[in-house]
Amino acid sequence: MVHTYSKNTIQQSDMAIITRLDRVLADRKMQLSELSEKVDISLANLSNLKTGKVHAIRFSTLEKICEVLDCQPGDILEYEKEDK
Amino acid sequence: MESTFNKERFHGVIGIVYTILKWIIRFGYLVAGITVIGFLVVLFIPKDLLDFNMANLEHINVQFTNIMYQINGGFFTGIVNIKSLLLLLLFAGMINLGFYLFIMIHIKKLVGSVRNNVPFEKSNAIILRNLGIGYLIACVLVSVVNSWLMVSAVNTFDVINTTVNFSIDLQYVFIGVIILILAYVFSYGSYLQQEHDTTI
Repeated sequence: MVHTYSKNTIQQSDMAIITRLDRVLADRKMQLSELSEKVDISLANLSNLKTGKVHAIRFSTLEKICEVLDCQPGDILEYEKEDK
Repeated sequence: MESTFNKERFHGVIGIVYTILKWIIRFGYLVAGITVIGFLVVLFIPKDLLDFNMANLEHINVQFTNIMYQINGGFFTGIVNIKSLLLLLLFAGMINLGFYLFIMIHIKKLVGSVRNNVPFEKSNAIILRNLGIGYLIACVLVSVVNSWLMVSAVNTFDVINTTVNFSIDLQYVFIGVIILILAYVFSYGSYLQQEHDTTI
């Protein structure tokens, strides 16, 4: 979902980036808390990432996660167009 | 880049400002309550009880901006009824006090949220917007009420060769406009804050 600042309200477009972090964690047999310690990101933020509540992710954060999970960014992020 | 802003000292000062504002508002409520009670008392007092003999008046002090004029009591004669003037004085006091309390309460809310490290919130943008609109309304309302009071005083005391000019203090207009601009800035800031908080 992309948010843009308009004159009156924040609008959402109909694109959606889905995170598959839970799938990758299950494949690596790793808990979210363990990942949180290794990448030095709070459990709350990782939980938000897992449930799709974040709006953006920094490349540095993505790099750390991919390094720890030994995966590609495409393994964690997936594009799925939302129906209106 | 090194930060030159001393966060601890700032929070210390903000805490003191918040406490002072809290007590000023409490005192304001007390004075407002007394004014309202006074208004109601004067409203229901029989008119005859508020006749005032001008011969008892030694002098009147009238202040315009920073200048105080003293008018000698011998200038005024006769008996005047001051009930309507008192009512208008107390009404004007309520309006002025209401405006200052409105400002103080909103500033206290802003200071409170800055003290809690959440300056860029949508609620703060709304507070600033209400402050700006309040200033623009007050610059007309307060001027009208104060001018009305002066006209009533001039008529009650039968002061000759005196005119009361109505004018709007432009500095209130400028302050109101600046605050409305700040409200827009804080609104955009709250959007950026939300984007920042949801970025990992």
